[in-house]
Amino acid sequence: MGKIEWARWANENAIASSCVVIMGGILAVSGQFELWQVGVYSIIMGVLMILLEYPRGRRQKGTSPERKFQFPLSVVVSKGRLLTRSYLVRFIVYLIISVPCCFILPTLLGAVCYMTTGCIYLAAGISGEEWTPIGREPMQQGPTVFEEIRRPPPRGPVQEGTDTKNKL
Amino acid sequence: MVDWITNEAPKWIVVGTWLILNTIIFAVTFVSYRDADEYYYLRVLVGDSLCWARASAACLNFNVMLILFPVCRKLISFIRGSCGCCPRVLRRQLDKNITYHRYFAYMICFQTAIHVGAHCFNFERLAAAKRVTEENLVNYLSRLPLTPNGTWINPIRVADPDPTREVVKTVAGITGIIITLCLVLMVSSSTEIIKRSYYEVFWFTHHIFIIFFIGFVIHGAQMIIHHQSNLSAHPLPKCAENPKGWGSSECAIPEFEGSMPRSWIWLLVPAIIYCIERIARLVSGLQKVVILKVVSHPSGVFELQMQKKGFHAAPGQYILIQCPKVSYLEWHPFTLTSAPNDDYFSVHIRREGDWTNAVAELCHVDEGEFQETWKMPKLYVDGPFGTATEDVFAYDVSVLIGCGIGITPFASVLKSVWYKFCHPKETVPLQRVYLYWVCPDTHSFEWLQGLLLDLERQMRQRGTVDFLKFHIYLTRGWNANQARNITLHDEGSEYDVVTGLHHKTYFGRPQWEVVFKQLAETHKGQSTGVFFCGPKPLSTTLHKLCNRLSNFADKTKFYYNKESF
Repeated sequence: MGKIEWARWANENAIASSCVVIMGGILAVSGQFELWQVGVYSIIMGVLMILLEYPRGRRQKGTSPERKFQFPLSVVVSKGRLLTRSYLVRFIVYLIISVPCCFILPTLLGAVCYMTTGCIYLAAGISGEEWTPIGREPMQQGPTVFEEIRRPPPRGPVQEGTDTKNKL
Repeated sequence: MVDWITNEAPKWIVVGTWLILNTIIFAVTFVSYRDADEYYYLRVLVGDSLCWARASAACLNFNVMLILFPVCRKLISFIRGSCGCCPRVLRRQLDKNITYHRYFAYMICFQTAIHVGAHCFNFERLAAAKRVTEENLVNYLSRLPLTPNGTWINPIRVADPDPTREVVKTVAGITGIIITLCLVLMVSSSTEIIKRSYYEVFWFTHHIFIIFFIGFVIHGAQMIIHHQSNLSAHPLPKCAENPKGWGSSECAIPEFEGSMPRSWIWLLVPAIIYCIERIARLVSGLQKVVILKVVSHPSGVFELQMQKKGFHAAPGQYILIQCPKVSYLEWHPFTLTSAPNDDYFSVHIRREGDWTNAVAELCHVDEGEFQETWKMPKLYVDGPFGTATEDVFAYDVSVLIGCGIGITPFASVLKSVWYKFCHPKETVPLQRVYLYWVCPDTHSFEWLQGLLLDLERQMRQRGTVDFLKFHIYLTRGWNANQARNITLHDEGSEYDVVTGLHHKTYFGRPQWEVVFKQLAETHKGQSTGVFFCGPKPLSTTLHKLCNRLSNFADKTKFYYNKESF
């Protein structure tokens, strides 16, 4: 399996935690209890974090599968340079944004989830991992060769039950 | 004509029954809390959210009870091996055990969301009730108890409460936060990408379920949801209209008490069964395994031939191997590549990561000379665990499709099928076997090529070339030299240039539509079992083709079976 890249798990956890935070925010806003404005903050923060975490970074070893339609977000996130590249920065960010969510009940769970995500990012940062965008490799232009044999004999759909041996 | 029923109906019957049961449990609990007189005053304080919280709690009990059963591998293998009636239908549902485990988990997440949301509303409303100054029913209820021996209905006991602080003061609140956090961690580490890339993270994190279960059981221990216990002395809704008159002969002061937590009852049986399962796995894993032979194959693959007392496997099953010298905690799955008729069992291991390389070194793979048995490392083996390929003999025609490393279970199946064909002890319906092997190239599968060569040679000797047919598709392509070589030699040669087999290799991906249509044509009226091991998108394509080409009219049936670990 190879060495664990904590950032991959932290990324999945961040998306899950953001969903919890957004749901908590919706609860707070719909309930209209005291300090429901924190719910608005939670929804905004949750959405922002999903946008930040949606583009997957490049894996250190092996293939890096992208999420659907992540390329434009990947471009935006890579513009953040150190702020978005360093996972230690993300650890601090998650700790800070989870603080207001601790003040009301509906978002308390979301805050705890964000703190956990921050801890996993701390592990990633300590291991020296960094977020690098998955680049798009340009299509390679093959050399144009004159009269070179390129295609081996195409095997047509074989009739099952007939002999496949050649008749020579 | 679409013969969807053959492949899909059993699964949807199971899922449909489960969904109906969930709906019934939810609805019955909801209605009972909405209408029960003993919760009348609690409903006055918190409204409908009580019903939502309790109904989702009942569904949670039900699903948490169910979720352990699909992962009792040994139990499932046992049921699989011993069911006599409706064997194939039941066995194919048992193969989907991980799918059902996931469905139960999704329902748990959904009900948790409802439960947490409803309880947020409950606590906020209870806190608001404490702050009411007007002399109304809510105020009266929140001020209870009026006497030192009296009982309360509002669990919040302070004058100006902060709901967040109140929640973390309760056992239910703390356990609720902990177990929901465990649930989020388990879900986030079970995504496809984490399971495929870092299986250990998934495996170890998933064991947080122990904390989840403990928290789940003690979640209701504080019994803070109170119901009224003296309804006979305090008839409702009459007495609710005049709270000032409580304490008279007509309406006594309402008394309340908590209900005993019931979650442990739901969890008792599955927890016991799961404990037995883990102990059984441990015990069978600890029996001695002897390494008979280590064979080094090209491309970093080595084969371990082993023996263990009492070990019996069916074709296509897999085992878990642990090597304590490398790691005490890691058990890795490997498909068996030997047939049941061999007097040993074997696995082919590709040297890819830390564990496989460490085991290879301990088995002296690189040293290239004969080693004594005592030099071999101690290994523990658990299993074998069942997969779908045991059914290959039950169909008239079996089509085995393997992509990349997914071809491995079919090595064992082919050996077993050939052995049964040559030494028929009883008649089986199986008449023809087709193998479709799709891979980028045959690199690291040279050992399988050797097996196919051997089988082809034996078939020619017996004169039964039609029994097994192989179709190998190389998808990585070719360079100019290879293309030249192939075109020059292919026309006149009996043997394929790439593999050396009589069966010619194909280049590029198969056109499954065409392949299946021909199979349907050739084997009209027969039952064809399709066994696939490989990536999901192709599995979906093949599954759909099987459904589409199964024909009720002339009884041509395609049964789709997918293997997975």
